[in-house]
Amino acid sequence: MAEQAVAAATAAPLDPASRPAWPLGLFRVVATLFALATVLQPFLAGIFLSGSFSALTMHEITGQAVGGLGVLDLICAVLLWRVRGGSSIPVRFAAALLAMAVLQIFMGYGRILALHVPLGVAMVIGVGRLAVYAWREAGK
Amino acid sequence: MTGDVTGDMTSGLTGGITARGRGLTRRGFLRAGGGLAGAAVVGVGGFELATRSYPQTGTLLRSQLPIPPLFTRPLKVPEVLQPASSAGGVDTYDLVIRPGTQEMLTGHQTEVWGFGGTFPGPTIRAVSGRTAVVRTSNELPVPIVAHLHGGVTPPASDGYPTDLLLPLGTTGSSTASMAMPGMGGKQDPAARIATGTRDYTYPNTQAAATLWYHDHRMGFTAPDVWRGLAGFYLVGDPAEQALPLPSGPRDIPLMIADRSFAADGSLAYPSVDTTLMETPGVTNDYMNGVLGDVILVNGVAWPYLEVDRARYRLRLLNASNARRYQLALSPQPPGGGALVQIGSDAGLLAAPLTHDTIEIAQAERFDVVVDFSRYKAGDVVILTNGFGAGNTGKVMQFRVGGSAGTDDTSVPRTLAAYQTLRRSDAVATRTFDFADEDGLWKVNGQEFDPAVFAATAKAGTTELWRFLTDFHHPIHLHAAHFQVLTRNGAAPGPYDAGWKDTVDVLPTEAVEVLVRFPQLTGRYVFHCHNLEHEDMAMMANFRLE
Repeated sequence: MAEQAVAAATAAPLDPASRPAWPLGLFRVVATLFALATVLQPFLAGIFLSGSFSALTMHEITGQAVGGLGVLDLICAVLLWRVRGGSSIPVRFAAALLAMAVLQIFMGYGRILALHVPLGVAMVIGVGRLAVYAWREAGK
Repeated sequence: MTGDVTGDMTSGLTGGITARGRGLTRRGFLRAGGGLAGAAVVGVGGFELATRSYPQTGTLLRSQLPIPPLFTRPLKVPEVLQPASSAGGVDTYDLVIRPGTQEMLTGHQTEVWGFGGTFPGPTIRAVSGRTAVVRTSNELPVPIVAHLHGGVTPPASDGYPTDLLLPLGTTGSSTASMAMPGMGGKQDPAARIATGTRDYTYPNTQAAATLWYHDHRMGFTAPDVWRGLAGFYLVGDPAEQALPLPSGPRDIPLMIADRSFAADGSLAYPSVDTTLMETPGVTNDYMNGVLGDVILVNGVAWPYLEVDRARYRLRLLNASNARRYQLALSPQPPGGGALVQIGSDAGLLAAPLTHDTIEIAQAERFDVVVDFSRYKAGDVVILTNGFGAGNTGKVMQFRVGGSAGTDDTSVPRTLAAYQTLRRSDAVATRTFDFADEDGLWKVNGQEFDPAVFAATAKAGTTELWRFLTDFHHPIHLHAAHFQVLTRNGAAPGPYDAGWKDTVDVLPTEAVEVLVRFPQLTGRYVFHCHNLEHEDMAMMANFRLE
């Protein structure tokens, strides 16, 4: 509660019309790319399991992209919160997803598939929900 | 609606903070603490289960008799077969395949099917560049096929699965019907069927290496090998002999194989057809592979070996149907690095590689030097299997003697001339997916068919072959040797070094190997060396032309 009060005092102007719009646009683009890259991952894993050799390499590259987009997404969420003002929910959400993405990369390389797969499922749900948030609630 | 979803999401994210603000009672706090501890136990247990790796694909077949104490009987080294003739620059050996009886498990006489009537069969010591002819007679009640694993052998002697050697005395009329079983009704007009005796001719145009021979009969390889049809074939060459490596009685081949025993001391195996004549395969529970609970080394359960405080060359072979091993010496000598690898499947490494542990899949060989002078006199050292549990976690015992003896051996820094293949050497790239489909083990969705060729390669060229898996599949190519190029897009693993003929591919792995095809033409197979998988169709043909 206290941090929200600080955020409101330092970042949120009283007049909604004077809020800068660019952090919202940036957040929407990055959250959408983050979601698309993450959703691509189970497809690539499935294609690998159906016998495509190159799909594993693409799964690896996309996994790294998901990690990078997770970092960008967190930065954009912070900008949205601090520059444009508003809720810190997307910041916490983006931080949780980034932590999951990092864990996911470690478990993928470590071939701990019994956790890699369910965490991947959870991530797909999470990034999807964050993208919906970016296009709906974040604009209000 | 949207607001509700957001609300759920928020409370989910901030739930911990909200609960803390509610002022829990002491009892409630304790109860919650107990619940959390319980959840933590379940969580940790679940995490361990989820992160556990499964060392092999297979199902344990339990022995129906009490297991005698371990390390009570000495290791046997298979006798070296002497040629019947060495005339004309060709060594000719006589080898009769017949039933025999031997004491594998203390106090039990067990019937085996053996080359020479023993398991393992006698060791053949061949010389690189000098042709060996093994005149093989079959006195078993079933057909057999002898394959020299790792041999660069022309097709007529390579032991193609349908090139049956029928039992002595088989009459002509039964020949055709005996070729049928195990092929799903398919015929193989190209099969070279012989009755009674066949000459297997091995040109030995290859470098010094630890090879092994074993049965390769269509649909029945797994039960035939389980009953004992396997032995060592060691190729030597002058360059290897010039090295100061341990030799003579300190050069010991170790065939590691798991088996299970019935209550009467006979070998147990879950065949569908116990005559091993008509219907191939095992009962459904064991289609993943058969794991035994008794570990044999050279046919003796958990043997011991008295060693001098000196270097020994141990040629490790995993001749098991489905079991993989993580071998280590326990205790490790001071400073570790007990297992100095000098050779892989198909020959010597360029330079020695030091290991604390070695993971060895079915049919793989690791040629290692162990320096027992790093131990004290009287030390007892166990060769352990990190992938096993209880008895299967132990393989054999070394008893370090007092006498240092004379030991002028060493492991040189350079072992052999070695050509590293490059990706650019490959003239073709092929991908093979080894996976279960409709209850059969398949390669690229195809069950084995002698008439279908998965690849046609040019003799003498190099190709890039990529293997994908669903479960554990150690993949073996006949006739050709290869080098592992990548494993899951990264560098090869610690056990991938050197020239190989079998590569251990773990579940959902992607492995690239560079295959150098020999100057031979004809039909060969490549297959999964989990023998239960191989019998249930995980095999394919390639043609060299």
